[in-house]
Amino acid sequence: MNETFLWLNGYQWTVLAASLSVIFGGIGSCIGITSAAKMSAGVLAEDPDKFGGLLVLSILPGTQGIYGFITGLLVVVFFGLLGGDGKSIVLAQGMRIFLGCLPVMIMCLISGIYQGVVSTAGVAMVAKRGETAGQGMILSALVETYAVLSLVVSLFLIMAAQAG
Amino acid sequence: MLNALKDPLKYGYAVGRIKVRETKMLGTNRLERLVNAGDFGDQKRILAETDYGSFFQEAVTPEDVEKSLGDYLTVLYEFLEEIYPEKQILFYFISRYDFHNLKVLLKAKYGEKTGEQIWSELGTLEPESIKKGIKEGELEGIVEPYRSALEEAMSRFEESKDSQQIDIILDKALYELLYMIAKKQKNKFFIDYVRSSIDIVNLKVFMRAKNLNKEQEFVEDALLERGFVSKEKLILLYPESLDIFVKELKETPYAMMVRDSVEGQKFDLDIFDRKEDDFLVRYIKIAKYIPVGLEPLISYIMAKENEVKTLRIILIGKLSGLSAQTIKERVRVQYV
Repeated sequence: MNETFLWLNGYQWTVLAASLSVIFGGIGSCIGITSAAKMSAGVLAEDPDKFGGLLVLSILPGTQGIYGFITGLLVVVFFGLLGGDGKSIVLAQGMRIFLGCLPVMIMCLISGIYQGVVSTAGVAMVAKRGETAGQGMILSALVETYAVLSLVVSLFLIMAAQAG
Repeated sequence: MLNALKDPLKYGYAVGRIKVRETKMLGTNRLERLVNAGDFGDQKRILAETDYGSFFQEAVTPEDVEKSLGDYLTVLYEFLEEIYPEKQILFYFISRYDFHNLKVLLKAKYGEKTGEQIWSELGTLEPESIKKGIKEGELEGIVEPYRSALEEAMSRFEESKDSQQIDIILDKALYELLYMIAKKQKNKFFIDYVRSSIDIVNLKVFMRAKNLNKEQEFVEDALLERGFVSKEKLILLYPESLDIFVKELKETPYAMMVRDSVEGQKFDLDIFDRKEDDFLVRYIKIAKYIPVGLEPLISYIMAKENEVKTLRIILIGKLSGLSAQTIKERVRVQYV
């Protein structure tokens, strides 16, 4: 029960997994959105009619933060961190939960930032030609794929950890 | 990788604004319509569709056109000053007007004819205090690097009584300043642009000297450092024939411009001037494919300056009765 690895026991590793999923997904999205939104603000200052397309382009890197949030929330719910049941998580299970969250932590951080880069380029495209907003969104969504894949795998791994 | 993160945060807003403004630039089509317009009145009607419109409402004479274009640039620089995060880039462009003004003033002081050169309102130097300072030889109130350049230019002129020395000294100081500004930004596109501009100034000095059969010492003194084509190479080529000169430059990007400017045993500097602007506009077009960063900001100013230059040629050409064909030959390649 009180077995530890790197000073943390199973319960603490589980809490760490939920926290870092939210933190890293959030950082990726913050940077991505800021990058696209800042340029969108410049474009909108000149041409407010482009708001529709630019809003979607700026918001696209935001999904990574949501994936991190979903992962974190599921860990909290599945392992009873709210009710105090979580205290009984053994080190082996805690480590499995932590390792299961790794895909979301890493991929959401990186893909959020890079999706911001693609979205920013999309904003530049829309600034020139308003009708290219759809194409910009598709290009940006290509980066999204890998965040979704990491979410799927993380969810399965968490479920596997819960099943024991 | 790190720049991909930093650039949108630093330059994103400004780039967003200028990307939209770029779409409102005159472009080849509208310029062609301006060239083919019946008279200046028609041209004004075409310009009324653009952001130039309000500046030309009252314009009648070539002087008015000059003034309107000057005002247009002043408003443009005020706008850029407001949005650019890096004021040094603007200083790069504005310092050229300052040096131009210094040349005008110095030549006026020494009684040289300045021809069409007039005081530009775009510089940062205070006209009255500078005029007074130069007239009375008191340079204390003038900031660096203008002051040391002025001091050197004045002492060189008093030694040699040759007004070309003023141009040489001030150009050297200007390009050294421009190079330093670009270097500070650590941006390859920017630095390479300055180095290319230096090459072009050097080639012009070389060609003009060759046309006038100047001595080698003159070229050695007048050529600038820091270009891609080294000063030493140009000095070595100076005594050689034009054919060898053209051949030696074959590997450089300037090969075509130089070759096309050769007319018999002389260089045609009019042709070179036109090709020079085209060359630099083609260079800055690289920035079109860079979505965000310092490059689009720099090339926007260059593109606008080129547009104003072209517009001046077209409008004043029309006012002085040049044919559409003649004006068209002088029109430069455009950024958009």
